[in-house]
Amino acid sequence: MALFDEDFLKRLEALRLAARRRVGTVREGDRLTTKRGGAALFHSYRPYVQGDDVRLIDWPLYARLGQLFVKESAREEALRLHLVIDASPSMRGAKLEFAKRLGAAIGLIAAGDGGEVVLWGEAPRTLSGDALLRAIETMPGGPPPLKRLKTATRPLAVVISDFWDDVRADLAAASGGQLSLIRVLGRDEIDPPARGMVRLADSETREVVDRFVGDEELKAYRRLLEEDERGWREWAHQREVTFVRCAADEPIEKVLMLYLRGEGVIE
Amino acid sequence: MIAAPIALWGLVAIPLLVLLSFWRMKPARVTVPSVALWKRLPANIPPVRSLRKPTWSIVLLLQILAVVAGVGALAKPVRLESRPQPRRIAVVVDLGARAFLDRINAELDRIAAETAGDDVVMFETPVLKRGPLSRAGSKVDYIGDPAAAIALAKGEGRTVIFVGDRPAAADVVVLTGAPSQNIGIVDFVPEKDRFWVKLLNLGAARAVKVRVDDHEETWTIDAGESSRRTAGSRLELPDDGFALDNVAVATKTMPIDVELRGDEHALLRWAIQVQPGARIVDRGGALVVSVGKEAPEPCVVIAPPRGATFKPATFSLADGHPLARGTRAEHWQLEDVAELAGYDPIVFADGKCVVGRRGGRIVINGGLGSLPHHPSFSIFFANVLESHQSASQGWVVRRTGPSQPRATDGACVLDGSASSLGTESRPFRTESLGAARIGEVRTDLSAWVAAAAVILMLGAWLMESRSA
Repeated sequence: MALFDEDFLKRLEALRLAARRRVGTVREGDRLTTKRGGAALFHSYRPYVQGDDVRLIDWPLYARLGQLFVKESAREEALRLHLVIDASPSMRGAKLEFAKRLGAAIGLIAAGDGGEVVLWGEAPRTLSGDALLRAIETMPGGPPPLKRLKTATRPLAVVISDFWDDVRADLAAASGGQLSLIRVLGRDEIDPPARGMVRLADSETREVVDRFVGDEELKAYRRLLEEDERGWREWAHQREVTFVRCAADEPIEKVLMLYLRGEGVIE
Repeated sequence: MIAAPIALWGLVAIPLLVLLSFWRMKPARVTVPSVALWKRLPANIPPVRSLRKPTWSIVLLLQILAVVAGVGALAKPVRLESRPQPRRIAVVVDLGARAFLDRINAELDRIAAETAGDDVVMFETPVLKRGPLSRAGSKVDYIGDPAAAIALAKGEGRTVIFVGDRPAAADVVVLTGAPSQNIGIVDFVPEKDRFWVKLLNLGAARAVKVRVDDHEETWTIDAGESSRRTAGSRLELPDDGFALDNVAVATKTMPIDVELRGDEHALLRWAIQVQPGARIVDRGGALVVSVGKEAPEPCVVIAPPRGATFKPATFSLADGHPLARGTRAEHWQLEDVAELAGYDPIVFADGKCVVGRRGGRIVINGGLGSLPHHPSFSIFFANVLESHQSASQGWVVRRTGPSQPRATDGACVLDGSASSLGTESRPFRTESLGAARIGEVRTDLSAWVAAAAVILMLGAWLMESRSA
């Protein structure tokens, strides 16, 4: 089964991954990627923020304007995207299919500019083009190897998961580069259909929880879900990590154009 | 309609089932990606009103339907239908010698079409045979009385349709007789060298062609019975439409004792044993058949050849010799033959007489070879014995009537009644059978309803086990 039709693939060609931070690259490429310091080509000024290399401050400009600006340079480099798709049992079904399609779309965007995609499965594999699509389509089930992601140098990484497991420690270790977290939830997770006495079984741990589900309980569930997501967003914000949540039944194009472009993951 | 309405009390199980399902309140099992959030949800006691509210489910619905179906099966539901009842009918067909099979079969076709769906049996008579209704009688049998078959059919409580050439005491009589113009030979008696023949003319007096032995004559035959004398031993009415009584043949025959001498030959003994009237005796036979030895006349000697023997290549028969009649030259595979001189030739080998007759002595001058394995061997001895018997004075009418598809070979129908083909044709009329009785047919539906109950129960069990 083809993941995408021709029209969709053409629309993907107009998109590019946005590298806002210093990230690992492949080689000299045919596109501009912002990198601080050692500029080969002047790109723009931006206001100085704490933590910027003081050597990059444009002192003559400071003398004229009295404000600190940092000179940003750009040079053409191809990106290396580290793509992690959670294929654990909790993702099974529509969520995993959605995650694969979304991951494939992002991977194609990255590879479209001459970049590479490192697909993290049991072992990281550098892929592009049709091989990438085949690898995503046939990727085996299992939890994402987030612990090993920290071995990558300043990775430009996209992790697609439902994030029900608290993997923040692993992600923090890998957040030296530019990290984007895409949370995929099923519609039944966002708005559970269960009513009455329900025995809830965890798809991964087989843990069983008996609950009575009425209107009050559903309200409480949604509140807990919001709190959980707020926790993720706060954690992500503190680490300059992008966090996007989408439902598995949403159109991929909407997620790309609206959510990911809105968050600056792609441009 | 319900045959056992008391079983409907079983429906009280339904309210009990519903109450039981409320009481059980078994939580529905739902697999979720993670119970992380659910665990943080307080385990509230369900509100009382939710306990009182019926919690309808597919499983409960299937269980209720299964109970309804089970109770329904026990109540023995039956479907009543008004349908024409199958009529119990017996068709008695007279396949006696006078039967016109084509007419009978046409009537059987009509009867079969009218009685489709009825309980019909067919009796063939006079050789009584019972079986399912056949649309085609295939064989005409000897004359007999169909009354026994009609009585038997009535004994079974059936409406009897009789199909024959003359009326019988049946409920419906179908006649296939016809205005008869038949002329038949109904008696043929030898008188010294002539024959007295009795003819029955069921039509008007007329001139008919008669074949007497090998020549034809024209006789004027009066209506009714008439008689005359003729010299021929074979009489035939070739142009008459009803062939069964058209031929009479008289032959001379008498018992004859045959004495076998010399070497035992099993096929020779068998070839003589099968001849009509022949009896093998140890001594004093009227005819001696000897293998390898001389014998007194009259005799047949199968001798070691005298004179110069030779191995023949071809055999031929003496034209018109009565002892060779019916045999075939290629069957005379004799071995080591020698020429017979002074004999009336019967068989030639390479143009030389090797089987011949002189007076009462017949000689086969050589070894039999493979001749006994061919039909010509038996035919030869039949000719020998017939030749011997023809010397006697006893005439016997051996058979009458040609071999024909409508009659059994050799049927002796020298009987006036056999020549009368009936005078009436009365085809089968559907209204003569009467209308079928309308009756109620009960179809028991218990098995179907029980099967539905089992399927519903299985479905409920499967759904419950999946949700558990």
